[in-house]
Amino acid sequence: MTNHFSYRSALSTSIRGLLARTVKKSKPKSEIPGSQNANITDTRYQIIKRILYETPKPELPKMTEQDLEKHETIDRAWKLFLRNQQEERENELAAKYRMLNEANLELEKLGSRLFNSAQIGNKIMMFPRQMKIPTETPPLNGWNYDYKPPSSDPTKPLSSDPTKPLPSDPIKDSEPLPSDSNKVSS
Amino acid sequence: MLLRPAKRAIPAIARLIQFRTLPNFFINFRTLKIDESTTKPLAEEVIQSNDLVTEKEIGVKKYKTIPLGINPAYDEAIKYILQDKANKYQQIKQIDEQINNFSKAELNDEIIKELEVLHKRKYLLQVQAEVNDPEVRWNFKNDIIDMSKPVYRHLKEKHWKSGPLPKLMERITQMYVVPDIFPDLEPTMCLEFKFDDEFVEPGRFQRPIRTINPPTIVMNSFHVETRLYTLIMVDPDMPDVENKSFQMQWHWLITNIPISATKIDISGGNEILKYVPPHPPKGTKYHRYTLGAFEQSNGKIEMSKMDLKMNVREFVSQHNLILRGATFFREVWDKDVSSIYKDQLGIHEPIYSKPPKIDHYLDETGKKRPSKFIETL
Repeated sequence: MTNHFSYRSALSTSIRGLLARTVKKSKPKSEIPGSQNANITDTRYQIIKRILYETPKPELPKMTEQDLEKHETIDRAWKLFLRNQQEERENELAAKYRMLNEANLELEKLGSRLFNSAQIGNKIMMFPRQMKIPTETPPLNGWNYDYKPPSSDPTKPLSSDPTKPLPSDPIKDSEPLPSDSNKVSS
Repeated sequence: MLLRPAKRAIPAIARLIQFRTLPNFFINFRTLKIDESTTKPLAEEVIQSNDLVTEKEIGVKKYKTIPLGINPAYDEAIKYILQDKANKYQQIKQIDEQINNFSKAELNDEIIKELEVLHKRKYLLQVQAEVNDPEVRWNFKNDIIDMSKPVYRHLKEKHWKSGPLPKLMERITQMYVVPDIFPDLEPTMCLEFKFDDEFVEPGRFQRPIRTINPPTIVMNSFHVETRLYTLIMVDPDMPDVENKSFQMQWHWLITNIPISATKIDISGGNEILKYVPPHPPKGTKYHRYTLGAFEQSNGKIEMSKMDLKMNVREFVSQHNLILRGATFFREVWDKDVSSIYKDQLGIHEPIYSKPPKIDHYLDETGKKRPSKFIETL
């Protein structure tokens, strides 16, 4: 009767040596982290255990019945305040959406080119060059505390220099970038 | 070493006044615990003699408003809460006007739906207006509940759904009350019972002597209008020897009980089957005595006598009942059960046991059977 042991014994000794060397050796138990036979002298385990089990629990303040009631009332009032704020914002947004919707419906009735372009929208979204991008460091000139917004009188020229063209968008074109002043005007 | 702060000279009566023990039904749901050892308030406040609770009648408690002018945060909080309350009542007024306008018009499906929406919104506003009021919260905590007000109904329902209800459902599913007696249970009413003036947790074992007299039933519903309910008590674990199974026994049946949020007892109903005290026979395992509260969807039920052989499911479908609340308790045979059979029921007490074991190694005459294995030599 042949059994599988007989196959192995048929191999030559050199090949058996090769096979033995190529078989992957498993990690010794002491190296597997978390095992019971792990290297107990490793200080990291002690530190972890101390942090987990021995750090003192933060003590809650000892309150009387009245104090607890006051605390709860204040807590509820604050949460109510935040909730009301949130509701206001939501209602505003809902109203805006409603108005937008109604306006679009009205525009649709007119059956115009304006309606079609309104539906398409602006597929190419471009950010204005002068828009402030958050920087990691503050500007060299510091914060302009004496800044005054341009006046609301439309007849009055917005810029002091009459040769310069009037800014169409007060947010975009009111202040030129410092780099632009160095450029040679074409 | 920690140094304890010296106890101030507080009158002894203040230290003695304990928090009234809350009934089983109400669980303390706070995370911050009240420290009853120190009656000393926080640093910035001074004890005023008015603050200390000196009640002449310890049974009756009333809310004492916290004085303003001590804690600025608290003052602002109260101001904001009362302002919000006023706003909410304004909104409620507007909704009331809208409802009035609708009531003049005819009632068709659309208008009914809109009215429903308005009523829901009104209920929500009524709850929101009062729920932040510290007096209301104190009242609820101290079991001074007026179920005619929407706030208290809401708070009670919320509390029930977070604490006692999951426990009840766990017990009911664990003890298989649901498939055995009721096909399904989605409670909208808190059904509770008392033996000897003490609330019983669902599923607890009771002693037979204690249950000779019917329990005091409390049906806590959350609807304002009065509806008719049916109460049943059933034991599904009575043995049925012929069918080698179990049979259901009826213990109690009351129909046409008017129940609302403000009316919680079972008076005003027709007792069709008088209360039969539980009598688990000897030799059987524990019995589950289940109470069920059904809403009568078809109005009043006219019934003179009860067919005791009827199944619960058949009974429910016959009268178009909707299961709204259930609970149960368990019992096991006791020496007192024999006296119940003798005195209360007047029937012979059955004693059950397991059928005799058949020993396959003995033949009909009782002698040992010959060996099954043929010997080989």
